[in-house]
Amino acid sequence: MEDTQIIALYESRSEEAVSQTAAKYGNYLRRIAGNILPGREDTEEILNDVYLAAWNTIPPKRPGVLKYYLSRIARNLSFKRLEYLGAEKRGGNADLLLSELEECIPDPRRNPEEAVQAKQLGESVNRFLATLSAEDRGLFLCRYYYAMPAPQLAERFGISPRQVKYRLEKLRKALKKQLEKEGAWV
Amino acid sequence: MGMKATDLNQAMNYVEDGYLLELDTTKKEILTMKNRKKTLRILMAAALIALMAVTAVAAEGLNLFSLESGRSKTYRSYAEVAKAITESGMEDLHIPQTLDGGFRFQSVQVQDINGRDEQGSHVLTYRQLEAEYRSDAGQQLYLSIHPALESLGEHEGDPTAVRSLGDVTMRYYLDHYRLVPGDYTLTEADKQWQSQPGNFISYGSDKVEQQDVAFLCWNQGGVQYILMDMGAAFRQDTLFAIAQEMLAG
Repeated sequence: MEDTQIIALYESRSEEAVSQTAAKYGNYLRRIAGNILPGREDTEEILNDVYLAAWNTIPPKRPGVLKYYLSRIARNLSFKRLEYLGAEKRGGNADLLLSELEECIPDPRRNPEEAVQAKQLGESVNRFLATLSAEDRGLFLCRYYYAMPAPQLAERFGISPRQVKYRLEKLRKALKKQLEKEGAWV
Repeated sequence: MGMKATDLNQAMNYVEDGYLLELDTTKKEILTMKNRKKTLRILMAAALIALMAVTAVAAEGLNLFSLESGRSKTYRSYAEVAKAITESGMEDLHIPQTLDGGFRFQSVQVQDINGRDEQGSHVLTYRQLEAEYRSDAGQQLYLSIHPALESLGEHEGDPTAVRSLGDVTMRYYLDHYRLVPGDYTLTEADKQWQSQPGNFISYGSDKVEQQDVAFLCWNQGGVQYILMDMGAAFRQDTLFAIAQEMLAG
């Protein structure tokens, strides 16, 4: 079913919208949540929460691309769930991802009182992505948007896990440099 | 409170759809898209020739035979549209983020265009912007914007439909293009086909293919806008509605 038809189902409050969403995007969303959360049970719960959030927000929202709209919900809810999990249950990948992102942050002592607007920061990230080759952009997004772990990235990009590590490190340094240049901590 | 890793992680939610779409695009699809891009460039040049050539000869004595792309730069983020407009040298332009009918901005390219005469001599240069839009269903529209090149005057061809909004006249053309390789020799059937109104033969493709193209043109503030629908997938009312929305916005 086309996305426009699924969105029309949400708009007409037909419960078929949820089953069609699950049929079309269930596996995709499961992979996102599964990359972030350690357990299958948490992943399945998040999936149901994603469908509920879509049901509650469409309308009034009319997503530009349904797939990516759902992926953002899945990301958000998965990371929120992660916060509630105890350290022993969290698993390594998402925590490692956050510690990697920590490396991209300009020196917080430069302006410690200023809160950072996610949207403004997102625009900086988009500008950074525009400077990358399509392959580097893909690698960066697979890691920091889709939270894919290194072995998965190595397989997808046909490079060794060591090369994945090296290239991501280089990308993080480049992002940090751009955020510093743009004064993104302000 | 300075920036934290979680802020940066949250910022990832604002990554533009175009980048995620790129990630979903396979190499084979990219190759197909490149071929489509090439076809598009040929069609765009052919359409512009159809628009300009007649009056170019009449007004300036320019024997405009071909248009080809020179240097170009592509921006995929809507946040960079203002930069692209500045680089184009045109002012007071509006490139919308969305078009009526659910089309969303994908990219904008700043492109130098060189015009040559039949002998291959360089007779014209200008810089244009070409924005690409895509719908959820994968349908594409292209918006080409270039200086109106006053010396070339107004197009004298026959549009399929004409509508006005205020003092702006919009002209809709539905043409049929047969794209052929550069070394292709026209057959008698090709020549006969080409002699029909609205039929054009353009050189430069990898193989012989035929394509209907609809385009809607209007001139506003010394700038020529061309909304191009490769494949003529949309009704003319759809293109007029998009143009009217742009003019109103």
